[in-house]
Amino acid sequence: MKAARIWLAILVAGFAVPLLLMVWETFDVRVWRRVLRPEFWQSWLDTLMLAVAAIGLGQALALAVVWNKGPLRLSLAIAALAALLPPFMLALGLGWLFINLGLGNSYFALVAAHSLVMFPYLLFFTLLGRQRVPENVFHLAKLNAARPLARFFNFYLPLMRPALVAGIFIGLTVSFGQYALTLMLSNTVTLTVRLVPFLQSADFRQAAVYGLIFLINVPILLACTHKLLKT
Amino acid sequence: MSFANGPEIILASRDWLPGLGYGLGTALVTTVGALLLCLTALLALLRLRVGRGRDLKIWMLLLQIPVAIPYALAAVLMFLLLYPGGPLGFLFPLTLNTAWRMIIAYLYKVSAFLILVSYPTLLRTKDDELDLLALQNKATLPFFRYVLLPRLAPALLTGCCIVFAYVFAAYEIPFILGGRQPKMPALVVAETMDKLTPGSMQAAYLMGLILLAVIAAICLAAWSIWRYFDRRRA
Repeated sequence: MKAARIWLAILVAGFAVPLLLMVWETFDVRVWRRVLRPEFWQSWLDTLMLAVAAIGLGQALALAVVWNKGPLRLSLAIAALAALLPPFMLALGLGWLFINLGLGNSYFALVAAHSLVMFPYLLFFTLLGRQRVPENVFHLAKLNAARPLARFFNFYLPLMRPALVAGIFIGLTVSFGQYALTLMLSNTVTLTVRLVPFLQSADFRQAAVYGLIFLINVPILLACTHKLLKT
Repeated sequence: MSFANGPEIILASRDWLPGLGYGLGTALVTTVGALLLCLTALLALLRLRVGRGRDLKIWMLLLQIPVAIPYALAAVLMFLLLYPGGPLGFLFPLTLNTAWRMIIAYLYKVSAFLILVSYPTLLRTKDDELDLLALQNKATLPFFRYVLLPRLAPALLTGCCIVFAYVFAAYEIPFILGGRQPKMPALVVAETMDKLTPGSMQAAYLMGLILLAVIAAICLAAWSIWRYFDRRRA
């Protein structure tokens, strides 16, 4: 057990040291002043709004697929195949599709693209969540609540919450990380779009501040989701 | 959509074929490296589970750190780590070969993803199997090799295919960390698209389709190999 713990500690250190280094680089008020300008707040808001809208659309789609009582294996196969499609390829295809539909450079196209990229993860975790709901709960819910929505919110959602939160967590990360997809489909300047030029000009301190903001965003949004699903 | 003179543009491109080979090599090395890291982590987690270590959940939580990090941020971390003055700055001469820079950045992200994908199978190991394993000293490795690995194979295969597809056709990390020559295939596609010459758009779409075909062929080959060995084992 000791050897196992040592090996895991080495691995975790390999993951954590770069992050600590990044936090260390952000201990400079001047860099924060340079980053926190009005255009930054606009980008921050755009990033959050985009992620939330894409999660909403993707999660609704995932719930629709799972609740349609389709074959489980088929749903999993769809999720795996969609996950195999790299975001850049998706951006190429969607760019062509949306331009031909007259939706080129639209916010809707961007939200749809982000939800498609995160869809496999949302679908996978929604399937996991549904498996957590025992069959007798489905029967009990049908006996107690007439409306399907009431059944979903009062019976299924509390049981599915951990899996849904995990899916949303991955979805948020996927959405925050998109660079090519966002650039190719719209003019929206998200935090990632703002971050990349700093890396190219080797301004690592500003890049580190952006990195830290990324990291802070995820738990905040996750806590909000958890709270929202609980109520 | 017609591909007009797309094939001619692709054949005339000096970057396309070297880029394809470079992308394949980078993606394969990354996938194999991530798989090895994932397997060693799973073996360590299994040993903790056999010994009923109470810290299993904490380790698993810590191993998930990179999953929360976007790819662009992984590039930031690699810059901070590998550039002169960073803790691993002595590796800088090695990372002048940009493929290694990208591979390290990808390994950081995707090995955690593979662990996340395969961990539920490890958790499903039955208690009586673990009790038997605890009684037989030094039996963890054979159990991992002959019992757990065949169970883990479908999840690991899916995870590896996703990792390969992502790395092979990724844009963000090569754009930030990649060098000028050779270029990863997605960069060649984007540059062809940006040329705005007649047929360049069609050539870019055709290149995209070729990338997808390569991904499908490699994944299919990996699946066929796994099926062959799985049947032989059965």
